[in-house]
Amino acid sequence: MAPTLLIVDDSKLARIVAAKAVAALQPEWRRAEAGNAAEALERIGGGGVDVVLVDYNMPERNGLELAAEIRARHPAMPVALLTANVQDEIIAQARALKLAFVPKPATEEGLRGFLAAAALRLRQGAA
Amino acid sequence: MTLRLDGGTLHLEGDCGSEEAEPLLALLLEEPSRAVSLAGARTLHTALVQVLLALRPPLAGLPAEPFLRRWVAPLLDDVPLSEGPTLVQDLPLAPPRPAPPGWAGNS
Amino acid sequence: MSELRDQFLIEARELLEQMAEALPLLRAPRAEPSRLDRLYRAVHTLKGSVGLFPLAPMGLVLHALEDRLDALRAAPAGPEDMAALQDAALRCEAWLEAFASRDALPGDAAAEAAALAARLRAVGQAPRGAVPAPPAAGAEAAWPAALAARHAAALEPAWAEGRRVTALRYRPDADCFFLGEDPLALLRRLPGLLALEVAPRAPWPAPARLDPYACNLEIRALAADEPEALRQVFRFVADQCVMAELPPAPPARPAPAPDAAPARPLRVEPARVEALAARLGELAVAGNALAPLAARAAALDPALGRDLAGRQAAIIRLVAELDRMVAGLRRLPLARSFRRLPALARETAARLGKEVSLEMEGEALEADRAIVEGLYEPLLHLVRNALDHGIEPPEARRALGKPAAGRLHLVARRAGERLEIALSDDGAGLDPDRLRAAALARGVADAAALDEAALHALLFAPGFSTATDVSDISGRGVGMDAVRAAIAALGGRVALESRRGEGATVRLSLPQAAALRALLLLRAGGEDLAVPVEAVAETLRLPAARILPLGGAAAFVLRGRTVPLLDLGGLLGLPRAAGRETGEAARVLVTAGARPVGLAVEAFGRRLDAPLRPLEGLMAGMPGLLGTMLDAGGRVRMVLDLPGLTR
Repeated sequence: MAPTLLIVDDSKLARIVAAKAVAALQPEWRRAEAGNAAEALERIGGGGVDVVLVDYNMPERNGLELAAEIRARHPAMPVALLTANVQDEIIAQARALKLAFVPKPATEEGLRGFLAAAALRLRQGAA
Repeated sequence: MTLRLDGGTLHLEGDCGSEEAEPLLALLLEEPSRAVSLAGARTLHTALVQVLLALRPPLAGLPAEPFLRRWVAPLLDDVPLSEGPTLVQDLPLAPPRPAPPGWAGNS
Repeated sequence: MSELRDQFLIEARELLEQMAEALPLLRAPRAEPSRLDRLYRAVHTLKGSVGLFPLAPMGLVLHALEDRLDALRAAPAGPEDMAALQDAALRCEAWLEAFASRDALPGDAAAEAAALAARLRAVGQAPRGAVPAPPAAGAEAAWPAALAARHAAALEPAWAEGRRVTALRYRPDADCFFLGEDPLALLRRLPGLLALEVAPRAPWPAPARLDPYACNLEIRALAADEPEALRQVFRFVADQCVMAELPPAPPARPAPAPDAAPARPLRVEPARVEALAARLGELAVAGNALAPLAARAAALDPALGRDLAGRQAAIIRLVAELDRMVAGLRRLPLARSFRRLPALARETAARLGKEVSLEMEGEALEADRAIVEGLYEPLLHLVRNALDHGIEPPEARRALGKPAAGRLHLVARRAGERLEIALSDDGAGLDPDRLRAAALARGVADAAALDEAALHALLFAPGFSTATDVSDISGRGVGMDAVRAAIAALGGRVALESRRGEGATVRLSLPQAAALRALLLLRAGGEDLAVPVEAVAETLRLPAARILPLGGAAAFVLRGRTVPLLDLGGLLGLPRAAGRETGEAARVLVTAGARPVGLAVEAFGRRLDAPLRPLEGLMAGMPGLLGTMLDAGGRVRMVLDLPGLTR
């Protein structure tokens, strides 16, 4: 079964951009979207999400907080933080959570490494 | 396809990502005498470099891409650079064994 | 190749002998420094020349030997040292003789070299007699220094430029590949990378047990940058990296350092490079000679002919590539030609009762030795010309409101693949009316209708001079045409701009390397000749009926334009081509340029790329000739200067 990737970003435009890049790199993957952290957690709680792309800069709960909650429930799930410009302190926290970084706006180039690695992880988990 | 087997030679071509590390390893284990050509490689993921470092297959073609040619190929080539001792240990090749379970095929 | 090789063998034997004599001196507690220096120089020189031949194992041993000797400047050599050094020297002697007799090293040379080099390094690094061990915990803090020591040669150029150097140790997490990280890709982003090591953190498991996705690497690097710059590149993996800036350059070494780094120039005798270039020219000729062979083969067997032609093309491509590489070895700064000009300009000005300053820019640019040296004469001529005809006497300049001292400005810059050199003066510029009058007086047909650019172009025609009084400075009979021919022989072009009353600028456009020239072979006046392809606009077969008699001469109409038709053999003072009287179609070459001329020849040959050899001795400066070339048959052909012949 094809994996499902969840894109979490409060900007619709940003979600479209990321979805396009994901579609170009992994055409078989299914894509789901969430506009905020609560929606994302609900979607993940419902099951069937394999990979998550989280925008760092979101109102209410930021991407790092959301990622921490995801990590608590799914220790091995590939999660990437979409960031335009981050401080070293955030990098350190993200690294502690085993997050990947994807520069924003999400391009094929920026996503390639993370998606390839996520595919590896999923394949290993399934084997 | 960035990994291609042509006769006895494995060609890594274009932008070679980490996903090729496992098939590369499998193909080298299957037939340890296979040479690897980097002539057409543009980028080579570290995971692939690691496989080449650990197994040390003969290099059939040097990369044309300047970074790979200047910096990566010398790490893989048995002719030591005159810059200093190579720190990479040489291990004798083990006899071919089947790939470990869990690697073969796309699940 | 044999001349170069012979020279190498002579020298290498001598150097090895010096080494053997001097090595025992190392045992003494205080060896005489000058004798040790000789030993050091011998090793260094030999190492340099070994690089020209397929003797990599010998180079490796000499390199290790040199490093060891360097370390021994401070302390006498122990018995292990002496044994390792002498074994290495003996092995080099044996290899040299093997190379002399069989042109190759024994098959086991590479392995033996690695062992010898390792032994030389081991006696240096470990306590005497010990096997080199992995760095102990105590050595942990010393890793930047150890790294720097291993790559001293690579560091040298950066230190010489006063750049800061940072050492990096990067231990990527075992699961970093799963986060999409590519550690070596980060190294790619370090522009100042000087050295790179990649080693396993734990010994490699048996191949079949290798986990390709568990990163087991430690990366060590040196970069000519400050730590902050590296931190930026590695900030996303900052937790896995340690950086340390190296202390500034160590005190200069008394002798030249090992030259393993690509940035460090290798010292090679110019004569050897010339010999290499000459052989390469012959190789190009030999490669060209395969083309007619391929054509003959094609007549018998088209497939074989095609294959042969393909191989020939591949050889020519390789020759061209080698040619570019050799060209790189032959580069000199323009200053070699420029630097003598200011003094000569002042001297000449003084003789003319004028004042002048010559400013120069871009003299640090480099070009092929032949270009740099070939530029001197034409530049000298242009400077004299500007002083003689351009710059006014001081009183005249004052009257015009100009500073009393004239100003010459010589600027060189790169323009893509070419080198552009402009010499400007702030003198009187050219007088178009006088030029036109001179043109009329010399019977230039359409002189009255010529525009300013065309009048300027006339200056480059042989024998055209506007100076009313012939001065001894510019010389009689050698004018701008000599400059044009000299520049053309270097593969260049000349153009002139003038603003009346404000001055003139002569622009030279030159290749940076005297590369192979594209030449067209032809036969005229019973002689085999060649012309540069760029001087030819087209070649035609002209039916006799289309040739119009024009007074004593002939012409033909080409796309609505009347083009004069001359006989090339006749121009050269050779017998005229026979075909025209028999009513056969004439073979005609049309020259390139604004005023095309048709030249009748007897036959056209092939196009080929070959080095153009400058004219020497009696023939130097002969008008109408650019140089000579060797054709496929090994015969010397004259290469014609078409603009010089037809103007």
